[in-house]
Amino acid sequence: MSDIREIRVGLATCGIAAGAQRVYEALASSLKESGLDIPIRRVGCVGMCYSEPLVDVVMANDAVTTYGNVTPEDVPRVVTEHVIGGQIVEGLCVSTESFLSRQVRIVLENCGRIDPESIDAYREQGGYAGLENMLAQMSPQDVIEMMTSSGLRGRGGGGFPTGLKWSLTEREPGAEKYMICNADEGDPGAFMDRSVLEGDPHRVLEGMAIAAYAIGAAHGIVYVRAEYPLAIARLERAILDARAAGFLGEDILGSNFSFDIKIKAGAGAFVCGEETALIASIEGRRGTPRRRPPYPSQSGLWEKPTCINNVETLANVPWIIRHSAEAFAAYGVGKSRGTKVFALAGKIKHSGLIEVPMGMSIGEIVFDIGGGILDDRPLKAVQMGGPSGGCIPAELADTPVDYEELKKTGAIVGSGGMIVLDDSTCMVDIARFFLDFTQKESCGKCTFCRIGTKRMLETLTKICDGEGSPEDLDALVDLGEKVKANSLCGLGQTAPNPVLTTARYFRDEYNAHLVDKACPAKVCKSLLRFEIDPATCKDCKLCVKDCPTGAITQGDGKYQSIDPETCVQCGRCYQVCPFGAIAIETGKVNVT
Amino acid sequence: MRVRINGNEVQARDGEMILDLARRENIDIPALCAEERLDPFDSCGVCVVEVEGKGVVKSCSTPVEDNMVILTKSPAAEEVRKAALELLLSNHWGDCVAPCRMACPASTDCQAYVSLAANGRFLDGLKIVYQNIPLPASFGRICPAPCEDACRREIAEEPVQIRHMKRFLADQGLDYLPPVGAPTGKHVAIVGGGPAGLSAAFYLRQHGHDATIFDAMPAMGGMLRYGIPEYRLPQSVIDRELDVLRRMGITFRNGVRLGEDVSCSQLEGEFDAVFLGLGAWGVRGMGLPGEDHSAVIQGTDFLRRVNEGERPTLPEHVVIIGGGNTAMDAARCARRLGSDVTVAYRRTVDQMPALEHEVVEAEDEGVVFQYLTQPVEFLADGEALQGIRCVKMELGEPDASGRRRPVPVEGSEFVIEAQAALLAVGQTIDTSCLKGEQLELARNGAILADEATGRTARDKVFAGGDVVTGPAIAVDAVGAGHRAADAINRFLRGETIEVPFVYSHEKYGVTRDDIGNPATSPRIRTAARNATDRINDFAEYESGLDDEEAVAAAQRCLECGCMAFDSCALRDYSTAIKAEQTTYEGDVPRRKRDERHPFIIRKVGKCIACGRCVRVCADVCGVSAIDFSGRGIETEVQVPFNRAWQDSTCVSCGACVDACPTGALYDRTVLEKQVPLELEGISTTCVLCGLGCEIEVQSLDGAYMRTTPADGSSVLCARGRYGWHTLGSEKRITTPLIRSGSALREASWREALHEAGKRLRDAKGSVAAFGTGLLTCEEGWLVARIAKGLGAGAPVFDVNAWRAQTEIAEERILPIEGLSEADLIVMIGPRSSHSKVVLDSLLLQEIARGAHVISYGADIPRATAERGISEFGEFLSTAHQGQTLLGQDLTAAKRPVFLLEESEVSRNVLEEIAETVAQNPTWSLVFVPATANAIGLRRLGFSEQLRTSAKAWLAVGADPAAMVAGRQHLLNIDTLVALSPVRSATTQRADVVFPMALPYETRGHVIGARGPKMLTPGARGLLEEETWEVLLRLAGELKIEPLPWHFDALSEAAKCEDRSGLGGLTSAGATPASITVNIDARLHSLGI
Repeated sequence: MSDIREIRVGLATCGIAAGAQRVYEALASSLKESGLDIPIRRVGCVGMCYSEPLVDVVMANDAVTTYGNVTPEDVPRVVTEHVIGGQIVEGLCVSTESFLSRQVRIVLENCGRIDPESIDAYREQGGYAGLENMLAQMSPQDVIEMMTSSGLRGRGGGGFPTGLKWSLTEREPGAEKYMICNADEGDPGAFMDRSVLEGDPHRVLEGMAIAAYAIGAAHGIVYVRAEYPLAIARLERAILDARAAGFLGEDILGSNFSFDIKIKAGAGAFVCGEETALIASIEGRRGTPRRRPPYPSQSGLWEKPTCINNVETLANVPWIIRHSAEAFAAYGVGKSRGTKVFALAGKIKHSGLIEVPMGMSIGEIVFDIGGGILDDRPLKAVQMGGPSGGCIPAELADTPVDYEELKKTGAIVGSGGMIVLDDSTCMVDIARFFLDFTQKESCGKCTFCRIGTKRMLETLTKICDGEGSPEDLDALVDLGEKVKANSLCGLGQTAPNPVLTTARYFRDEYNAHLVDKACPAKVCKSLLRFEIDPATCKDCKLCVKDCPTGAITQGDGKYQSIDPETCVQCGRCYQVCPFGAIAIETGKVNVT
Repeated sequence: MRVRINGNEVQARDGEMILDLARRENIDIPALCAEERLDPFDSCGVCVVEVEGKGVVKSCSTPVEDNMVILTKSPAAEEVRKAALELLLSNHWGDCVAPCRMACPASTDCQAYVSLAANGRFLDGLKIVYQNIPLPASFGRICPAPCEDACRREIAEEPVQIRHMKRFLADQGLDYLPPVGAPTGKHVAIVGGGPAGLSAAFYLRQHGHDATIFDAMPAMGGMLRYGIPEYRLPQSVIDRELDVLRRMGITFRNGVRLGEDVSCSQLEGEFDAVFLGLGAWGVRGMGLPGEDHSAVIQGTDFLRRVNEGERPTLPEHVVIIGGGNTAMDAARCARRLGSDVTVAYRRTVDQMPALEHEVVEAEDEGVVFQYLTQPVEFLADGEALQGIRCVKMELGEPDASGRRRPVPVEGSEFVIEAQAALLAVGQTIDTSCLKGEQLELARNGAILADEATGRTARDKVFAGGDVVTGPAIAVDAVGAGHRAADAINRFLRGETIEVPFVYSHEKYGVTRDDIGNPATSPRIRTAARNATDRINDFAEYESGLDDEEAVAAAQRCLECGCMAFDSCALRDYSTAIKAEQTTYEGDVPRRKRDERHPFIIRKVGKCIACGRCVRVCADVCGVSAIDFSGRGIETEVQVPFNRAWQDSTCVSCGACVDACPTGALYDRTVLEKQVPLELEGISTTCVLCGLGCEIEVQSLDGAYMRTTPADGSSVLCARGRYGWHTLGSEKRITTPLIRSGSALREASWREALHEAGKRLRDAKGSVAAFGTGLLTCEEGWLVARIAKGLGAGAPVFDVNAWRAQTEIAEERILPIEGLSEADLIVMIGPRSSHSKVVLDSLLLQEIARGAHVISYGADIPRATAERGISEFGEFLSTAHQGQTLLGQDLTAAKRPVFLLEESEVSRNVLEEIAETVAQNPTWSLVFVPATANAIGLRRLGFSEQLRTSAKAWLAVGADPAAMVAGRQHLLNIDTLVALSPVRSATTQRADVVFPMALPYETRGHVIGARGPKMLTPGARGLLEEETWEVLLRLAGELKIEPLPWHFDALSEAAKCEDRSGLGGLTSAGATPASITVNIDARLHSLGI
């Protein structure tokens, strides 16, 4: 009992959503009832979102026992058997080995391990030491040089070398410069930035302070989505603590360097993740991108030189300062150095947050860390880089996570969203899904994005509805290329990617929709026919009762049949049939 | 740096965008969102060019680089440009041209003349009709009106009565003679005096060519005269219209038959070009047994004889064979000649080609129809025809025309009793007269000619109408004749004959909801004689609309056509690149028209989201009344928080309208119902305040329609732009008036001049003359001359004016353009409400240039500093001005300029400023005089001293009775002679009133903030005389001599053409007269 140093409860948004708050409360009262004085730490997300709520029992020797999917009802057992009895509750214990052992955790170093609301906890892990050392020993040029040689590139999706970005901003004349942290994480299925802000906010602040020192900025702004209230709350707390501790504000640590940070909550427009739109939004204008040049480094916020880095990029910075550029560059391949955080989602067993060295293959991530596909179905493709990334087919699963290599496939590293698709996914439908998102999030400024993506979506919808013709696909790809080439900002330039990559790798599936009027994955409802197999049907009439349009009636023989004219392909008969007598067919009816 | 653009090496400026360079080099790059006054916006995607090594880039936002190689029209760039335009078109909800006009084979601008009629502008409407229809009275009676079939009102209820409108306008404008072009010395022969030939002759004449029409028949008109019965189209109407053509100088040569009296090649030799409009006068027989019987007659022959005045005796029973309009005409004529008439037609009524109303009216007149009836033999007993054996038909499979083919029913033969049969089974083309000529003919004899130009195989020969197309409706032939006339004109002038492609956008699938669910308003029933009455003679049986009905019927027009049809950049670029509307077809947001603003109409569906309106409003005008809202395809320009436009900060300057590259924003003209019209613009100067903005008065054939800034990029105020609209014609005085008891009555000029002269001469020595700041120098000189002649002393402004006593060196007073030389502008005092937006736009320009603006007592957008007016007072009163904040600013500046509006600062302050400026050699002053011509009139000796002892007043444009100073003396006078454009307090009291031209209707000089300007009459107005002419006549009546009787002499006498900048600070202010009072009151009532 006395060996237990602390108990950690994951209380990031994912944990709270899974019920971790109630687990925390149960644990607190249970320990209190038992008269035990063991500290309970509220920590961020360790990444194993698939097992939340998570409770770690940490021993004095750093050994950790992790309990997953913990309910308040499980808590007394943990306390009685493990905390008091010293026996690990076997059935409740989850293995972290396969999930964590192949990861390299730089950005997520502290996530799930320390109390994000405690500046001391951060400092205990070496936090702010980098800032301190830097202020004492390094010139801004030294810092920029260090970033440059580390090979760190922008993790928000652009992949622009961070050292170069800083030096461009540093080089601009003018006393007033801005350092902005872009935390406007808008990709559906991506939650890397949120987890970092919720799990280790000081890391981002320290990164910002280092960046600000390097570029000569006195003002910092975190632009964060208003949909991330917990992240905002923890950031606010962290800013207050950092200011109190002298890491922010006037004359930081007596160095003559002054820097302070404000939070700007964004209203949730996807396009505001784009640098110039983000700046417009902070300035109180409509969040629309503008042409570049001038780049923000030349004329950014309030027309002053401005450096904008993504949360994950900045979270790497203190580590590099602390461990050296070489240590960082030791990870990765080619021009992609260090690690990358990915949010695994979709049809994958271990959905959650991971951090791997650059250069790991997609297959390794999906199967070795992600645990493979749900229900052990075959992998069909991985959508990389959010809604405007691209679909990488299973046969290219060996592709390493590397900016240049991924670009060759037509996809992008992007901000790190990875949506795993299995064979039950229709690639035309998935392209339509992502395009629907981007076209709605288009700011509406430029013609190709505003109208082009809408027309593309209409064509995709037509194809999914079985009303497309083979020429439509050519026209779709042609328009997609034009939208990509001629849109003003990254949103429009990448919006066609899901369409273009699926059209490239899954042309047969498009042709099936266009020529055979079939959806091989049986997703596009207009192309489906529900049929009753007379051999299996027991004439129980459950389907008849449930059919909302009365499409199922007594057919020629004894059994029910479905009238294709009346059927709206809702699939309820398929769901209710207790005998599996309803078959879903697709494609043209074979005339025999 | 040097760059190559389209193969030419040019000098580029550092940091310059490719688009700006191209524009400087006069290379046209299409661009919709870019405009010189604004920062690049980079949104439309149309301005793309190809840059070597960079590919296709947007020229608006790509800076030039040394040795850059640019191609503005490379295939790659054109492909992207076309795609951008076609994407915009795919989301554009509007019609370039109204569907009625699109449907008219002669492209008649139906919407324009209907809407002009709705505004009571009947003659203007008729002129529009004549642009495409040379015989409007005839076509207003007989045209089948494809326009009405296309009319959008039909979605809700019956279409607009477009044909009737044409008839109404034509019957109204009996005296109107369409103009002919300047003589070219070219002479064109036209063969065929029917619709095609007459149309060709008419438009050739308008192009200035001589035209001679040859026709085989004794009179012109072709089938109009010889095919259409009198009861539909009286011969007198045709004669009247032919007389118009004759008066235009067209030569008619009747009784000349081609191939007999003259040959085509002969005409080619004698004339510069030949047009063949021979029609389709051949007839088709049926080839039935007994058809050669003398009682079996061709319907067209019968109709010709009747139209020539014959009234043949017909037997009791007559059968008409056929179902077209000729059959109906023949049937109804036969009815009128007393026969029982049966029409035998082999198909059903639904398939009958005759117009529905013709069938109904024939039935009303007692014509019997036998459908599905096919004659097979004419039965004769010796001399007399006895009947027609027919067979019953039934409908079988569809034939080539898509109609179900009638097939005989076996054993169904029967006989219709008839003593005469009229065949109307179709007309054919007879071009046997062209035998031996080198013309290409089709198998049916038709001349092969290009549809768009009428060009035939021979260079000088053109053809059109039925002889090319086969029998068709008359308006088709008119269109063909017109197109050929235009082509011949281009041919004769040595231009390309081909007709260039013009893009026209259309709304597809319009629903009742899209047209805004118009209130129910049925067509107006025109009176027709009843059937039993009308079959007794051949007189016209249908009446036209009267004035009131015509206006009401025209009000029903839904105004489909785009107001920007001739200025839309989207249309122009789409034309240039031959874009198609349906390349990227998809859902179009069907945004509705917004007419809530008093002057600005938004056709939101036409918005292409280029943001020029938004940016001009914010960055050029400093107003920011509008912005984008929504995302993606839903993006649209809105007043923030979706409030109504007029509830915004909008100042009604109309700059957004000028910025809009499409028809999404347009401003109302003076007309109540808006009409897309090609207007003529004449540059002149606005006189509504001392700023003297350059304006363009847009008129339709001399009638004022709207005002725009002269250079399209400057900003006007609501008063200058829309103020004239608010006067309305009901307030205008158009004839002289003389007091009769308590009221004014209309009088002749002679009478009014006499009365005014007598009254003023009687009061000689006790007269006071009033002018207004709106008067031109010439008018002012005449007023002063008259005043002197009447012993009235100096004429006075109509209010207590003042003037600064201090004089400073003339070069230190700059015209307003002098602001552009300043590095510091000190604005003193507020701006008047109307000049605010104009001054702000000027100041914003200077701020963008880098000038500092410091304002005292005014909120100027983007000013360097705003300070209280009292702080300026402290500056003035401080002995050591250099120690004040402003003093320091002034010391730091190289060329500081003080700016003020005369009407907005007190006399003392002006004097003090003048003194201060005078003391410092680098400082200058720019001021806006209180009225347009304050400076000029002051020089002419106008004063502010009201002569209180006067017994008679002469008020020229002034409204002394409305002013405090004048009102109190009103009871002392016993004579008041007024000149005024509109009714005012002074005209109400006056004994004699003369109409006065509005400033844009008259000529003369004014001297305002921009120096001396010449006013040019941009519109004819409602008056025959300009104001200086009226004053001359009055002076003549008063025996004031000598007088300069020509404008130039008058101008010379007035000597107000400025020679020295603005002159000394000796201006006087005056409150504008009744015009501005009226305008301001109206604008105020509109919330502006």
